[in-house]
Amino acid sequence: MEELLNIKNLVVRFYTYEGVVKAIEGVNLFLRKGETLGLVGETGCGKSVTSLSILALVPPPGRIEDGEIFFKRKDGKRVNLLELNEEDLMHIRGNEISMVFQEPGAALNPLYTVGEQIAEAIILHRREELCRRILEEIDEEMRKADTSPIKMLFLRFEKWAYTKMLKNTRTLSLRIVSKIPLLNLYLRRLKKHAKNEAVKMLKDMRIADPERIANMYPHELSGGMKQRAVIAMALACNPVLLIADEPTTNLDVTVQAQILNLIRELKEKFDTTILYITHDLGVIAEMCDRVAVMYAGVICEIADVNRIFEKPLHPYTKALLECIPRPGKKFKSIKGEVPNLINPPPGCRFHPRCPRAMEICSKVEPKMVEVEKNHFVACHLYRGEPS
Amino acid sequence: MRALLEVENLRKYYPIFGGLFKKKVADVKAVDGINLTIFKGECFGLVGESGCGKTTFGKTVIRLLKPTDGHIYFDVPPDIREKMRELELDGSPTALRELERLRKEYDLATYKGKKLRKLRRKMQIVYQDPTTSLNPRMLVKDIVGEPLKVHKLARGGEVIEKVVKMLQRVGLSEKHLYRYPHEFSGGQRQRIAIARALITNPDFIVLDEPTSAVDVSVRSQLLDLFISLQKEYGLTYLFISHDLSVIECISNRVGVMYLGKIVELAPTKELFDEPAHPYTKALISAIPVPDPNVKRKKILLSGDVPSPINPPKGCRFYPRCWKARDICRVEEPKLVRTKGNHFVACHFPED
Repeated sequence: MEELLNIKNLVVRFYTYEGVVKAIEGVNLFLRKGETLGLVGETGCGKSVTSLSILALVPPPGRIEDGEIFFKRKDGKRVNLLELNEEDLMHIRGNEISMVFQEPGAALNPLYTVGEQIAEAIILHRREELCRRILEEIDEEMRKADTSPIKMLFLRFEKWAYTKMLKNTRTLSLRIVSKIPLLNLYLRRLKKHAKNEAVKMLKDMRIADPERIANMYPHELSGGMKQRAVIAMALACNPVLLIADEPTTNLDVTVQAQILNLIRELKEKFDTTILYITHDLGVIAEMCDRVAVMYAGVICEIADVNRIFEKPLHPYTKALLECIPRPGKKFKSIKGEVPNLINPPPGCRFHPRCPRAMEICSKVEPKMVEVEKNHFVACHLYRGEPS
Repeated sequence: MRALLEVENLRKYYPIFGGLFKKKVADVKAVDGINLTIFKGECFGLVGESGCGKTTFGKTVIRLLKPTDGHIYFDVPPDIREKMRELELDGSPTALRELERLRKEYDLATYKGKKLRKLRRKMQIVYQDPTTSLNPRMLVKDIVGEPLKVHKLARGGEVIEKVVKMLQRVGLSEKHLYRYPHEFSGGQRQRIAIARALITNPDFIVLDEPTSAVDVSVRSQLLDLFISLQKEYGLTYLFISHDLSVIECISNRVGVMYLGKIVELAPTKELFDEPAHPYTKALISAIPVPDPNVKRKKILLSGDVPSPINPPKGCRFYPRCWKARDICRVEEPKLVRTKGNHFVACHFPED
């Protein structure tokens, strides 16, 4: 299958007063087109930082120290996201790669209605499409015989404005015109069209009565509704890659089931590739095709979802699976705590908690090897083909 | 088995004020008529979605909130409870007067001041988020030792001694005494909160979603701790959670709450194997199973939980229920025994 995203040897560090936090140390990961890859791990293991680096959004004092992230754009060009300038990145963010965050309440602006916020994303990224449609509409209105001369004049002005906008939004003339009262009324048409698109998006999210919801403010909506609105915003521009960062963690099980179902349906409909970040292995089993397990800034195992659950190889993956409470089975807990990433343990980062630690584990960092086809493990217990 | 806590017809309404003179305009019916018995030494699990009143119930039961209506009997001698039941059945004016007198003496809902404080020692709570439930300006030794001072259970050097012992029991150590809560990880903070709850040697502990703010691996560590503490101190738990898999592995009996009411009550295994109420069925089917080969048929509920200000008339679940018939709209189903210890509040539990 075609490769969509390839992260190579990514290193991210945070420069804090306490020391350098080695959040991500050499992560290698690739995503195929059309698949859902699950990224599992505990809090602070670097899942979210990985996803933020894909969008080049790592917040200071964090810095991407090393690595390459290759992404195949919509037009087929393969680019390194970390080398692009801000302007190109703006085209990619939201348009080709978009993200759904954990806390829908924090991802929405409380001062604007949900419809306005989705419309904003649409105006920003689908301007050309909207302008074309508006120009057609204006032409049709001009063709009508009974338009008054004043209206005709305004229509002509609108046509001029939208033709300009089609090429570039930030030309000087448009910027001036949009500040002049009465003349800037031409923007109403753009807003109306974007709003219609937003309502259509909300309808796709299985929201009953989308017109009413579009006019509501985030605080008037329940958690599940808010998350739907955020997903609508993320999918508004038909992205190739959707990064879902724990989208259902704060929701109730019944709402979670609704949202998961929705994401699955939308994936089919829009043909998006999904990077699904979560700590819930149950959700992983339901949603993903492949799974990558992360621990303390490194990826320790990547395999197909069935393999991970049937025959996990890395001791951490095994331990993680064993500590889920399941009926009829006694759960075991992992001893100790996640290491401090300022001074991570030498060698394999899991060795202080590992039940099968050997002498070599505390000295040499294990390399990722392919034990079986498509099953990669970074552990000294296994010797396969180096990847 | 002896009942430790008996709750009769418990209600807790939060008033909403509005209008020009801030008159009371409505009530949020957080807990609306709950009857429940928790036996000594068991772990009772309470599940439900957010906003269904689980936490309010937990807080009301240990009288951190004053109930609007209803009775709470905590650790009342069985013969007195028996007598009260008889008096209630009798129903004559003298009997009722006697009942009133007994209630004043034993009903926790009427307790005030000193009498209440004395009982507080016996019932404790562990909150969901340890970051907010621990005072950031207090040292661990003060946080854990404060209940001892408040209840005058220890003095001077004895306090530290007891605190250290308790910290060791929950998996911390002496070296943590002079630290502030922010220096700990989430799991450790929750351990501090547990130590604080246990130090007065209580009989009954309300665990209000104690594992929902921590990671999977920490969650299993905490659950282990809860189980071993229960055995060691003979504790009784009210375990509130929205996570059914946790409830399934820790509790003996489970109550399912929906909009301020208990809709189903059964021993854990029975509830998960043969759920009778449609809401319980939907809830159980919605848990993601950590096994990609298991493809469970999911029951997707439509819509959201209705507002507890104006709960639907009749059965509260009918607007989202796929089995709803005419009677569900009109008549509210009572919590009735279907078999053994299985109670359901549904008009059509069989089909």
